[in-house]
Amino acid sequence: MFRRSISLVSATFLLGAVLAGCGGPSLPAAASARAAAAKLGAQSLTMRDIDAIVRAAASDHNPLVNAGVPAVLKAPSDMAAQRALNVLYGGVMDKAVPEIDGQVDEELNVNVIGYYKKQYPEVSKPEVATYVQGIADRLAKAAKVKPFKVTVLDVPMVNAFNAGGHAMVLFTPLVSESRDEAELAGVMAHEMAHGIARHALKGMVMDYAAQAAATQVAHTHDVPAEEDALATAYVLTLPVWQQHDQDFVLSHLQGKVGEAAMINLQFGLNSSFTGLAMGRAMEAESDKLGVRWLAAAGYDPHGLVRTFERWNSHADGDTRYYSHPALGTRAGTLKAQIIAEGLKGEDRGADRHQQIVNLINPPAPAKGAMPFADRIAGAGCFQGKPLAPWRKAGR
Amino acid sequence: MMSLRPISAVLLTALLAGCSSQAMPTAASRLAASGLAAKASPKEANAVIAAATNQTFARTSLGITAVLRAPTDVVAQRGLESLYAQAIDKVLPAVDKSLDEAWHPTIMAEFQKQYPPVSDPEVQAYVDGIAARLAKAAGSAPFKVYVSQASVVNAFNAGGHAMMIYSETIRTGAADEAELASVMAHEMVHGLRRHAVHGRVMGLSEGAARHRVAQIHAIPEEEATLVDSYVASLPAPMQQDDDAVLGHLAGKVSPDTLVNVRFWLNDMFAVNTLRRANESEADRLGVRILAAAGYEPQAAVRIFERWNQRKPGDERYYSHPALGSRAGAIKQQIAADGLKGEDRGEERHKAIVARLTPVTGTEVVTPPAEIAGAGCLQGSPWQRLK
Repeated sequence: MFRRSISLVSATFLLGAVLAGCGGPSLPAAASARAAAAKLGAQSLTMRDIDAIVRAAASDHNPLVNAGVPAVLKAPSDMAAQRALNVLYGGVMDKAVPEIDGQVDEELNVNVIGYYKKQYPEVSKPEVATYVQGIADRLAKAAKVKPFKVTVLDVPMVNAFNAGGHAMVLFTPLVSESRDEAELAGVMAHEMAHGIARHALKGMVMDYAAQAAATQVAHTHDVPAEEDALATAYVLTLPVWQQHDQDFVLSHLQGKVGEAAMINLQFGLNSSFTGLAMGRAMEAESDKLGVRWLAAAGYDPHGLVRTFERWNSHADGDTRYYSHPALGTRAGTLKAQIIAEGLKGEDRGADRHQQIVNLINPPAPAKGAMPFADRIAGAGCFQGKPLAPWRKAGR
Repeated sequence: MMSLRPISAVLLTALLAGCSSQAMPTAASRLAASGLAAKASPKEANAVIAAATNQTFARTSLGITAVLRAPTDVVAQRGLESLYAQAIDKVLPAVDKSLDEAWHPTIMAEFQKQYPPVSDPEVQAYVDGIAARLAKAAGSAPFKVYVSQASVVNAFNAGGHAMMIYSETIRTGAADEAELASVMAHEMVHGLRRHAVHGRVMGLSEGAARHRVAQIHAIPEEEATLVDSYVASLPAPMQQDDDAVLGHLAGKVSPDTLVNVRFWLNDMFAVNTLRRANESEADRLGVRILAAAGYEPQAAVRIFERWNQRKPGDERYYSHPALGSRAGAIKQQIAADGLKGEDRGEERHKAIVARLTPVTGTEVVTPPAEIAGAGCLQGSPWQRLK
C-alpha cells in the first residue's frame, strides 16, 4: 500500500506488484486467458480478455525474471540494477510479444478508441477526416504497411496516440497547431511506428514483467503489513511536492522502516526508472522509423524536427521521470539521422493544410498532455509533457 | 570517464590532496598579510582558494558519512552536490575578486602558443566592440578578448575579465553578430559569476571527500593492481562504461574497494551536475545581457538549435547540458523575462567572416586542463553542418 503512495510514477508498477502478489498467474487467470484466446477470429475481445491474453503470454516467462532478480538486487549501483532490469524486461518482451496474435493489437485499439469516443466528440467537418486519412494512406503506402484508420477527436490538448494496431487518434489542436502538412504527417508517421512496432503490447508485457520482478523481491524480502502503514504515514508528513521526489522519499524513510522495506522501495524505484527508460527507447524508435516513412512519402523530413523545436520551450526537469525523451533531444537525434541517412523530401503542403485549419474550431485549452492516466495510450502517444496552450480557440 | 588508469589516478589524487592540504594556510596568510592579492600569480591565487577551502573540509568530511549511507545513488549525488555547493558559498567571500584575474594571462598565453592568435586588427576591433557593448549592458568592467585560430567551435573563460574565442566560432559557428554575442555573453557570465573559482573549490573538495572515504573504507594495498587487471580484462568499450566496470568488479574486490569506486562515480556525476548548473546559469544570465545590449535574444536559441544535430549520450557524463535542452531553457527564459532586441548585425558579421582564414582539420581542440571543462561554451565537438 505505501508503495503506491510514494509516487505517481511507480504507482502503475507497484500497484501491479501488490495485485500480482495476491496470487500471481493463478489457474483461473490461465483459464480466462484460454477463454479469451478462443474468441480470437470469432468475436471481439474486451479489455479484460486482452489483459488476460497478454498477462498469460508475459507470465510464461516469469522464470526468466525470477532468475535475474537476485543479480539485480546485488548490483553495485542503481544504474547497474536498471540496466540488468532492462535486459530482463526486454527479454520477456522479445519472447512474449511475438506469441500474441496480431488481432489483439487491433482489438486493443478498438477498446481504447471506443472509450475516448465516449468522452470526446469526433471533429464535425468531414473534410478534416478525409484530409488526415489521405495523409495516413500516403504514409502507409510509403512504409509498405497496411492502411491506418485515423480518428480526430476534440480532446483539448496537442497530442496524438496509437493504442496498438493499425489505427491512431489525433487531437484536434494538433491538426490546427501544426504549421503545415509535413509537420502533421511527421507526428502521424510516429504514431504509425508505434503500431507497427507493437509498442502498446510491449508496454503491457513490460509492466507484467515488472510486476513479476517486484513480487519476487517482495517474497524474498518480506515487509510486515504494519510497516506499510508506518511508511505511508511518514510519507504523508512530507509536503506534496516532496512526496513526488522518490529519491527524497527513500532517504526520508531510511532508518524509519526496516531493511526489507528499503530493499523493496529501492527496487521499485529502479524498476520504474527502467520502465520509463524503455518507454523512451520506444519513443526514440518511433521517431526513427517515422522520419524515414515521412521522407519516403515525399514529405520534408524536417517537418517533425520543426514540430519538436517549436514546442521545445521549457527547461528540462529530471529526465529519468520522462515518458518521452526531451523535445530538444528528439530534435537533435532526428537531425543526426536525417544527415546520416541522407533523408530528403520537398513537400510541405502548407496551403492544403491551411485550408483544413480554417475549417477547425479547436476546443479551449486544458491542462495536461493526455486526458486520462491511461498507460496504454501513455506509452504510444506523441509527447509526454503538457505543451503551451494555443493562442485562442477558433480562428 | 573512469577506466583502468583513472581508477588508480583518482586514488592517487585523493591521497595527494589529503597530504598537500596541510601546508596551505601558511601560504594564504602570508599572501593576505603582504597585500599582494591584486598582483597574485596563479600559484598564489590557488593557495588562497586552497586555504579557504581547507576551512570547509571538516564539514565536508562530516557530510561524507551521510553520503555513504544514502539509499540511492542519486541521493548520494545530491548529498555531494549540497556539500560542494556549501563549500563554494563559504569560500567565495573569502577570496578577493581580484584573484580571479590571476590565471588568464598565463592560460591564454599558453593556449596561443599552440593555437596562434588571429592578428587582423579589424577582427580584434570587431570582437572588442561586441565585448564592450555587452559589458556596458551588464554593468561590468571591460573584458579582454583573445581570438585564436582553432578548428572547432568553442570559446572559454579562465576566470576574471577575459575570454578566448576560437576563430571557427566566428567564421562557421555563428551566423550573425547576435549569435556570436550570445556566445560571448555566456563566457562573460562565467567570469562574472566566478565559475573558475567554483571549479577549483569543487576539485579540492572532491579530493578531501575521496580522502575521507578512503580513510573510512581503506582499500587493501594489493587491490589497486588487482582492480587494474580486472578492468583490463574487459573489452575496450566496456572499460569506458563505469557502471559496467563497477558491475564487473562487484564480488571480485573487497567491499571497501567497491565503496570507494562507487563513491568516485557518484562524485563525478555530482560534480558534472554542478557544472551543468553553472552552464545553465551562464546561458540564462547571458541571454539577459544579450537582450540588454540590444541584440536579438533568439540568436542564443538559433545557434544551439542549428548545432543540435546529434543524438545525446549519457547526460551524467556531460559537463554541459545537451544543446536541445539549452535551447528550450533559453526560450523559456526569453518568454518569462519578456526579453526583446532587434539587432542581428548580419552585414557587419559577414564582413568579418570574409577576413578570416578557414582553419580546417579534424583536431579536437580541448580547452586548457586548468579550466577542467567548466567555463567554456560547450562540451563536445560540434559536428560540421551538411
